[in-house]
Amino acid sequence: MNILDIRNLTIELETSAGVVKVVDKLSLQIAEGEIHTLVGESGSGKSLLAKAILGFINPRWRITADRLWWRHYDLLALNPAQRRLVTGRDMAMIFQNPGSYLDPNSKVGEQLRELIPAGELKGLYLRRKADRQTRAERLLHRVGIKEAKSIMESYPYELSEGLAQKVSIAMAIAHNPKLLIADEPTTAMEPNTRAQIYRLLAKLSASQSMSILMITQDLTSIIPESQRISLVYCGQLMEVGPTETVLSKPAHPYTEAMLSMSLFGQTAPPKTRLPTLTGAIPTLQHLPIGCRLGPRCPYARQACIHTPRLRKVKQQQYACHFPLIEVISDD
Amino acid sequence: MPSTNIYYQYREPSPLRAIWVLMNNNPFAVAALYVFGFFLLIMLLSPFIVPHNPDYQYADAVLQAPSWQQDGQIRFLFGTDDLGRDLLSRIIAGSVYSLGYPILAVFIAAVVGSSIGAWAGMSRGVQSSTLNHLLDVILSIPSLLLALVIIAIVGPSLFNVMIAITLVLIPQFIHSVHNAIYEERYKEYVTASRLNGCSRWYMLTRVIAPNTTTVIVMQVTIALSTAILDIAALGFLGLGVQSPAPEWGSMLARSLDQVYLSPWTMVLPGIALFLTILAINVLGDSIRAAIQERVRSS
Amino acid sequence: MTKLLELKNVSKHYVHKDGWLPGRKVCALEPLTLTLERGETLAIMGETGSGKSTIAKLIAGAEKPSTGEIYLNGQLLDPRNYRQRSRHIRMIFQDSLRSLNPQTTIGRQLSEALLFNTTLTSDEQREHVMTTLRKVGLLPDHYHFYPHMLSSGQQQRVCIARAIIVDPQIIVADEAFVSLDPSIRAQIINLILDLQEDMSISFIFVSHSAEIVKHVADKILILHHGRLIEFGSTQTLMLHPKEQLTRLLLQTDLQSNVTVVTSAPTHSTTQE
Repeated sequence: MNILDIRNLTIELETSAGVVKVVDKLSLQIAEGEIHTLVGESGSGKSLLAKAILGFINPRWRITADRLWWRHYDLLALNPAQRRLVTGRDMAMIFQNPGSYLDPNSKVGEQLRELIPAGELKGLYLRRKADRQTRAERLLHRVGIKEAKSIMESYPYELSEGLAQKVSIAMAIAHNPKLLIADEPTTAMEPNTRAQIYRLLAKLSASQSMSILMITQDLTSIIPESQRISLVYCGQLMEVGPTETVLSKPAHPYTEAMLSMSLFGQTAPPKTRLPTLTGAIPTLQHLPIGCRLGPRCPYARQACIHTPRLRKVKQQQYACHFPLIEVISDD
Repeated sequence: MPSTNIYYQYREPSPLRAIWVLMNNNPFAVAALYVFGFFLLIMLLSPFIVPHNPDYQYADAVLQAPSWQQDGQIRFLFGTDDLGRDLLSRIIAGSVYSLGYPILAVFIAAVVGSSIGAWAGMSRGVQSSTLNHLLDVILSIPSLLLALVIIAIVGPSLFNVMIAITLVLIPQFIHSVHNAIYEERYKEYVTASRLNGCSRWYMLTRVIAPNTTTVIVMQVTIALSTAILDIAALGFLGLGVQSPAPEWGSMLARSLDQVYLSPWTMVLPGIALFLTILAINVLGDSIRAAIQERVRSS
Repeated sequence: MTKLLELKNVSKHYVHKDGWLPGRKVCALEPLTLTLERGETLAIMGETGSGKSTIAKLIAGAEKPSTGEIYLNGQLLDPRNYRQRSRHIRMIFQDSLRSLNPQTTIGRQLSEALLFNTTLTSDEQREHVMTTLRKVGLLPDHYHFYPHMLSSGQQQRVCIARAIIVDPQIIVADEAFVSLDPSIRAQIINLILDLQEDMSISFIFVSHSAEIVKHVADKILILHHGRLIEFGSTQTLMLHPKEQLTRLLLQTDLQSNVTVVTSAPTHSTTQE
């Protein structure tokens, strides 16, 4: 069952050059306990999407959607207070630079203890205090930190980036959220640390049936256990489907290009020129009409000035007039 | 409107232009700019536009009310003071003392202060920290008090007031320019220029200085309103510009005795002073707001 | 024949000063000896805090070595003389926007290097800047642009233009590919490979992406806590790594993805 169901989400920004559709009819479904990877380069609106789901909304944005459902709540119909209640209870987010999201002036332990939901504590003052402490320690154990005591006594700047990210994951799961949004949590991390974080996220997802929306900019940083993957370019959904199908049999030219650009180690011999998309990512003021990949797509033809519909082949969905896989037309 | 450019092209304005555009969107800033420009124009043209000699005493028209009052005359638009001098002419001529001299003082202070600040910002170690601690002491004393002390030593006169005001303003410039340069010089683009083999002089004038213009402009507006207020205050206390020079502050002081009889002699120079300082402060504030807005949006 | 670049016992330590008390010495790089041939590409890898950026900055001259000497074509480089090396060794920074002067046009910034390192007249400088802009895939129009008007990929191209404008022998890049989008990153890598072929430049770069290192580098240097632990050609290090760390750093997470592609995902890894 899909716990998050987004259909045709459109986000428009008012800029000095007029209203710009930054996110254009994006659909996203996440099932319970699923790890969903969202791949998009800069300007793809992936962070905006995360903000729209969580409800960090700027009054200058116009958000419209055919459906923006979280379990059985229609998030767009809720008032801000209700929405905060729902998202605060069920969702959590981790960010790219964990160090800057932790309070630099208080110890990790204090920040963690603060987050333990008061309703779950029992007994009188001292008892509750001790309970808080053990629960905070347990949280750190859950994210794979063994020396919980010494970590809790340290300040954020004393932690390595991997540890800081683990602490921020511990803080995110303190409420047992149903959905964890990870916004490029491992960019600029060592491969080693990155692998650790991925293992941890996959384990959490499997053991607590927590869904994870993993936002990343590049196909080299995908959690191996990711079940489904969406590729977004300039606010338009390019392709979505089971990770292994999409990566082995891409239907969309963009997926193919991303694959060859990110995973060239295997395909291209050293020192050869890499296959790449020509041109640059368009700025908000210069978004092309129709399929936004059009000007950079090697297969683009005249039909591409119309936005393609999302088509479905088995589990895989793609939005392209000229897909790379054989399609048996259904009409 | 027909456009010669066929393709619509959005171009980002250059950093200084972006600040200007943001200021243009703020109606208060534009109004302040016009008011300030108006006073500046009056100051520059004052010898040519005064209707009467500001020092000539019309014996037949002592304490004449302004022209919009019942017993006013159109000959004296703003009325006359207790010696029969035309108030409008005195306010116009006074703008030289109350606006022109502060501008001159700020200009000298800016040139001297910025150069010392730049030198201090480019040096490091004991030199720079000694200067900084010395400046902190000077900056902790209010500028008017410091000017009073200087006047008390050298005696009241226009020249001494100018020296006092300029000396008081210099530390502020040194401080802000020093900080601005110090902040910039460890940024990566400066390192890049250093690796280009640039000379120190080129680095200071072409690489770092353009990035401190906003700081200097802001400091100039602050210093200007301080200088105007200080000169007016010293004039009011009788320590600054000596009569019969039509300085706005000393005009206020002179009219204090007859404020019930002829309120216009006090209100009109007061309004001139008030408008000038308000315009400068609003201008400075909106420049600061525009800079912050630009930093945030980029 | 003398080597293009030679580092002899170069080391770096920082002194953490706290007030007037004598500071604590922190060693960022232990004495290191290294040589580089013309046209070679050297990749420096290591974990965070291993001193890999320090080497890059020492070679480029942004930092002064605490001990040791650096020779270029057998000539000793004076760490205080920026002019001496600015013609031959150029640096590309990690954050391209921050390494460009926000208040100066691209053209002025590029001519800066020519002004201090060549004897060209201002018309020739202008001409040369335009040619260089074209060489890195920008337009002569960009001469009058300010850095913030360009996209991140274009900014990186400007930085490359600044590096190659004086026909250097060595380019040092400190994590220059990290913050770029995949499509732009591939373009920049292609550009650097092209330029290297045309101008036979030696290229030294710091990176933690095994993909890029394998693709671009001839030699790899692995650092750990400021100490060199392995140095050799890419082939050797990939096939026969001596150290565990080398294997870890050079292993692409791609390999785990390939298992996803070829076989259905097994959840065996989720239960540790």
